Formats: sequence, structure tokens, C-alpha cells
Amino acid sequence: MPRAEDLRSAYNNFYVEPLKEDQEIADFYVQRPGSVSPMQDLLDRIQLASRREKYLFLGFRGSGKSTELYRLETALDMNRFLVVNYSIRDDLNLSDFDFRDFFVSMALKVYDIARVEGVPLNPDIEEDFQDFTRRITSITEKEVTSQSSAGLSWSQIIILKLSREAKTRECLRKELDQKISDLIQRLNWLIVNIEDKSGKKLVIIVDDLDKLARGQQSEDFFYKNYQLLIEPSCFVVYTFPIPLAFHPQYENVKHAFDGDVILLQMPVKKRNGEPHEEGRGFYRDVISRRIDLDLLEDGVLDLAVDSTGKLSELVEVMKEASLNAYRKGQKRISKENVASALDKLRMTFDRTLTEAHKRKLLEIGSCKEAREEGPDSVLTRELLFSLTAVEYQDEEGRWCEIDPMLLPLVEKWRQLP
Amino acid sequence: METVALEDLDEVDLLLTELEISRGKGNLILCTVASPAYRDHVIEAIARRFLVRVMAVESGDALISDLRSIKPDEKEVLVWTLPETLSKDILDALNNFRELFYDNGVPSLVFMAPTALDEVIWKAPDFWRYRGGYHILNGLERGLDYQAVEALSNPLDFSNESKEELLRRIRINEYLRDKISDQRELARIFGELGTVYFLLSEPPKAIEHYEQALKISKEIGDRRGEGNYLGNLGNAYADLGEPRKAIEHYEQALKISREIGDRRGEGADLGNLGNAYADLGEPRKAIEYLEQALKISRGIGDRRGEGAHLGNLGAACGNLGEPRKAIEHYEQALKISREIGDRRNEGVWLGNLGLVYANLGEPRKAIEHYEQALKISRGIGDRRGEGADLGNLGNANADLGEPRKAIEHYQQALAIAREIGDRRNEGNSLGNLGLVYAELDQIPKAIECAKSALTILESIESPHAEKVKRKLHEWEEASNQIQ
Repeated sequence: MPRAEDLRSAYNNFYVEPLKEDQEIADFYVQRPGSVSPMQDLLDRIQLASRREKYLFLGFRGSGKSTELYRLETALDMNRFLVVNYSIRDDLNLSDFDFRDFFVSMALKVYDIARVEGVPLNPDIEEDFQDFTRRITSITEKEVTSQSSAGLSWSQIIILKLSREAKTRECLRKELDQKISDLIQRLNWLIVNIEDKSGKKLVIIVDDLDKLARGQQSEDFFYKNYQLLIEPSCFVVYTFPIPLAFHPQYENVKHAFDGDVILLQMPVKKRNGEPHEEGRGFYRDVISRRIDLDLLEDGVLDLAVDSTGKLSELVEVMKEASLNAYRKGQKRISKENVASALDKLRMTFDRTLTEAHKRKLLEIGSCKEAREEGPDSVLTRELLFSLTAVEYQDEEGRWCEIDPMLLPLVEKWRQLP
Repeated sequence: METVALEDLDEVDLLLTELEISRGKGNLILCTVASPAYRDHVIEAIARRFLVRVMAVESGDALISDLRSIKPDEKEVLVWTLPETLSKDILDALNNFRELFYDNGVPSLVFMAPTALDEVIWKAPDFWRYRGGYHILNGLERGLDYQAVEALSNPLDFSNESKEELLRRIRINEYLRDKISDQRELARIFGELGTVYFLLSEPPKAIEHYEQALKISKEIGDRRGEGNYLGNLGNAYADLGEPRKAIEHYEQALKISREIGDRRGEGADLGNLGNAYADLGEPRKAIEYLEQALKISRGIGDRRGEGAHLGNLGAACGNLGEPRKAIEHYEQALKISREIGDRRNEGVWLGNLGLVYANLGEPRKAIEHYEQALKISRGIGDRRGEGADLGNLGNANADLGEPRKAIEHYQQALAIAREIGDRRNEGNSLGNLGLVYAELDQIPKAIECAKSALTILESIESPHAEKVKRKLHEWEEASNQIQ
């Protein structure tokens, strides 16, 4: 994607999807300032570890986790590692998500990598796995054959049925209710077999686990089943919803894993309110990679960066500002274009947030910490999920802050009765 | 004739530009609009520029299936209309299958009500974050039908369950008036008669009686009574659509309440001043007064005043575009009205809650509230409330694309407003009739209504006069072009 030289291309270059192709990375990726990048941290850990470790990878929505995971995949030495990098959103029905479906899909992904990489499986292990899968899903050979004409492999057909058919999921859950350890055992047989035959270590990267939409859904998955998540006998990186890290149970759970690596947003202001030049520089670079800076009038970049302080929001605001400018027949994006995009978002959040949310945000803004009042309180997590509260990190530590875009509303909120 | 509101021309133009830029590419553009009928007008406007396929979303599964199976022409724009309230399965489908909107290779434009957007932000955050564009349409603004509740300066110490009861109270007071010689008691009787007429939406008669009560109070040096009747006179003038005159009376009343240390009266006067400023289109000033009033009512345990100020704060918040806050206030006010058995205000807050829901894009929920409110106003003989409820029902029907039903309701509201001399609702009803006639392409009728509305709204300094003037100008221009 070449750097945009006009507003029409600028609009199209501002998109919030993860960078998942080498060319996109080469064109748009900006290294975060700081001593060790989270991706490098994970890479080092995997390359050095003698045991098959399990990691949690935490980050806010839109902070760039998927991009970092793609970079991790490409950075791992192909002669030493076999990588299974997949998104649960592609393979499972997140509206009806259960840990049993999750492990079945993981096993099928592992099974499929053997096919893709041409790793011959032990015939007994393969046959046993196929029998077991047929039994727990009640999918007949006839059903598989009828769909294989579409060019899908056996495991892909099962995954497809699992994601689309409630009946298949119901059956599987019933069958696995008392037999989840049977499934984990078979998953581990496959892992051992593949590692043995390929001479490489298997690394599973599970993306988008943080997209489980409901707080309860994620809590159930991570907090009730974390003992199962450390069972696979290979490296696994699990994405983890950062708001859940503010749950009292997080401290207990994180110790079961070998590491929790965090991708936080770069701040635009330090904890004491002074400008954070490294962070601002990072965001400026993000924009300058996507468009020619001559498309911006003076002060536009600083206004957009300082008013958002979040990667995806910055991109969204710049997208809308470029549309505003294009529509008005301008050659360059003006401050008014950015201000108008910011106002629209601000107004929407002001309307959507309840008074309790606003009070909580004021509290976060003044004490720079986000804590729940008690085990039943969800306010903080809701704010973090919606990104109206953000956690930042710099060389001086971590702190929480109100979304910079909302700061102009703070005075008004302070007048709340 | 009526397609896109003037206020939205810029935003619709921006939307069309975005669709143009996105032509032949996947994109997800969100658009909020409160009225389904207005949304359809906007879709018609889009269809004049683009090849449009409209898909009504009814369930999550159907949405996923449509997204997967649809094979659009590369020139097409897919328009998705979401229902007023979003079920869990729709929210999940939006959140978990957001990429499918991009995979089609053509832009998808998703229309939703403002209230549905709130659900999306909290419950489908990934869908929200994945958007390419976002547009807010205001829709056609109709006349305001918010009702403020006046805090009566003298305590309403009688129940107000039905019109019959109020009429009986008039007969009793008229009988007593001829028997009583004590001047203080006589002032009280005149004052109560004024209040009963006020409650029966007969402000001229209320003024006549309050004036007599005021005169006697002055003669006998009853400062508290004087303050009370001045405040109540202010209320009656406010109902007649004379907010400046109302303010003069409230200020005199406030001065007396403070002089004699009458905290309850002070709270009522401050609240009434707040309402008057709200009528003049100054919601921030209104909120300042109402908050002072609320503090006093709570301090002295005046539940009726507290309920009135809370509800009126709700109305001011609604006018400032803060519907969630408005709902919170109305709900609290409604609870108090029910606790203290205040049927009149119960009806008012129900109606006002309906208005907020209508603004959030839930016209059906709004209608439910208006109908409950209408039942109460008819039950207690609150003609002014009845007129407002009918007008609001008219608006909701217009939003649902039922202009003929809307006209019926507006005409009933207009008849009541004229009957009781309620200038504000008379102006609003005429303005609203104009809008609906324009939607039906009956421009001469629309112009006629708007002209009458404008005369009235200007005379009462309504903030809506300006909007009606703009519309009138637009229609006159259109009419001249046709000729």
C-alpha cells in the first residue's frame, strides 16, 4: 500500500484492521519505543525456553495485538518451529462459545497443520483421533464426503460444522462433558507425534480470545478453565482481554501461566500531565507511514494525536477527517476537519455513558488507577472494554487515564449533582 | 417533497461522498437516525445516486446467512436496517461477524436508532470499532411537546383523581365564597379556585381568581399569601404562552419568599423560573435554577416539589441532548408522583419519558408511554396534558411513516389547544401539521399551517419559531419553482 498522496487514498489507507501481510507490515508498521517490544519478549521466551510454556498476551482492543502476533509468527525460525496461528473468530461461533468447542477446534487445527506441512502422522494416532472426533460430533462420513467437494479438508469441514451448527455443538458438549481429559490427551498425542516427525517445536497462537463479547463469557472461559489452558504440551500464546486483568481473580490465574506479556497503548501525556514525546512520536509515525504529511495543515497531526491517544481511535478520526476534507474539495486536512470528527464521537460517548460511568471516569482521571468497588461491580471493566478508560505504560510505570478524546467533557461532568 | 432535513444536508452529503469513495470496495458505514420513516426518506435519496439493496435485519442468524450468501453487483450499496431494539443474537452476529461486511466487496451502510447505537457500543464493541464511517442524522424536528410541571406556590392539599372531583371542588368553593367573611379564608378560597381552574387547563379563569386572592392578601398584609399567588399567577401566564410575564411574577414571588424565609415557596419560585427559561430555549439557565430548587425541596422534605424539579430537570437535560440523564430524572420523578399519588404529574412524566424514547429512535416504546399518559390526562380532566399527549402520538406516528394517523392526532391536539387557550401547543400542532402535509406533498396546506404556526410561536417567543420560518421559506421556494 503506497503512502497516500491525495485525500481519497488517505481515506482508504486509514483502516483499523490488523496488518497481516508482509507488504502491509513493510509499509505501515511502526515500532513502539521502549526497551523490549512485547513481540520480542514473546519471541525470546519461546526461543530460549526448554519447557513448552504458556503465555497470556494482553492488550486493549485495537492496540495492535493481531499485528504483533503476525510479526511473532514470521519472526520465529521456520527451521525450529511449526506455527499454528489462528483466530477463534474464524473457527468458532462466539455467540455460543464454550471451552469444549475451543479445545476441539484447537485439536483440529493441530491435526490440520500436519496435513498442510506434509508431516506423516502415526496411523494409529490419526485413526484414533478421527474416530474420537466423529463420535463426539456425530458427524458421519457421508456428511464429510458431501462437503469435501468444496475443497475443504476433513478437519476444516468439522470446524465449519462446529461453528455453524448448534446441533453439532450440543452433541459435542454433551459427549465431552465428562471426557474433556480424553480430548486433551488426544491433542497431546498429536502434538508429540508432529513434533517428533517434523523435528520442530509446535507453537500455537490463539488470537481474538479477547473478543469474547460478554464479560461473563470471558470470565467463565479464563477463570473456570485456566487449568485446562495449560494442559497442551506445546507452546501456546493466548490473547487475553485486558479488562479481565482488573478482576480480583486475575492474580491467582496469571501464576498458572509462564508469563503475561502486555501490549499497552502508548501515552501522549505522562502520568503528571506533561507531553510524552516518545508516545506522540510513535503516533505521528503511524500517520506519516500511511499518508504524505503534506496532506495535513499545520497543527493537524498534533491535534489528532493529542486528542486520541489510542491507535485505533487515531486512525478512525483521521479517516473521518480525510473524508470531511475530501468532501469539501480541500487539498489538505484542516484542524476543523479533525475537530468535527472528534466532536461527533465525543457527543456520542457523552450521551451513551451513564452518570455512574462518568463519576467512575472522573475518579480514574484523578487517581490514575482503575479499580472495581467490589466483586459485583463491573463499571471499571465496562469502561475499559469500551476504551473510554485506557491503561498506559511508560518507563515510569503503568497508570490509567480517561480516554483523551473525552477530556474536554470533564469540566461538565464535574458539575454533576 | 420532504426528503432530507435541512439540518442534515451536510451530513447526508458527507455520507454520499463516503459511499462514492468506497464504491466497489468493502466498507462498513454506520448511521443513526431516530425515525424509521425519515430513514426511509434518506435511503430514497441514496437510491437516487447508487444502486441500492435494502436488507431488514430481523435476527442474528438471518444476518449472518445474508452476509454470507449475498453476491452483490460491484456497483451496489448494501443498506442494512436494524430493528429499534437489538436482541442479543443480533448484537453477537454484528460483533463476531463484522468482517463479512467488508468481505462482500461493496460498501455496507447500517442504519440504526440512537438507542441501538448505545447497545452496539457496549455490547458489540468490535463491530463499532471496525466501522469505516459514522454519521448522525437529526431527522425532521417537530414542535416541542415537552410539558414542564409548574411547582405550585401554595401546597396542593387536595387530591386530583378525576375531573369530576375538581368540578365538585369548584362548586364547594363557590358556595363557601358567599358564606365566608374572614378575609384570609376568602383569599384562600379564591386561590384554590384559581388552582382548580389551572389544573383544568383554564388559565384565564385561574388568573382571574388568583388576582382576587392576591388583592385580598395585599390588603390584609399577608406576605406569604401574596408570594404564593404571585407565583401561581406566573404559572398561569406560562400556560398562556407568556414566559416573560411569568418570569416577572416569579421574580416578585421569589423576593417575597426570601424576605419572609419561606423555603418551600423559594424552592417553588426557583423551579418555576427554571421552567420559564426552558420555555425560552435557555436550558442551561433552566438547569441552574432547577438544581437550586431541588436542593431546597430535598432539604425541607418537600416531596412534591422534589418530584416536579426532578422531572423538569429531565426535560432540560432532554433539550440539551442528554437523553440518558433525562430518563434517570424522569424515572425518579415518576416514582415520587406514584408514591404521593400525584396523578397529574405521573401522566406528565410518562409522556415526557415517551418523548425521550422517541428521540432515541424507539417510537413504539414512545407510543406505549404516550398512551398511558393520555389515559391519565383524560381521567383527571387535564386537557392541556391530553393535548400534549395527542400531539406526541402524532409525532410518533409520523416517525413510523403513518402520516394520516399523525394528522388525526395533531388535529385533535390542535382543537384542545384552541379550546383551552394553550398557545404553545397550538403553535406546535400547526407546525407539525405543516411538516406532515409537506411529506404528503400537499405544499399549499403545509404553507398555510406553517404561517399560522409562525404567528403564534413568534408571539410567545418559542425557540421553534426559527425552525418553522426556515421550513416555510423552503416550501414557499419550492412552490414558486413549481409555478
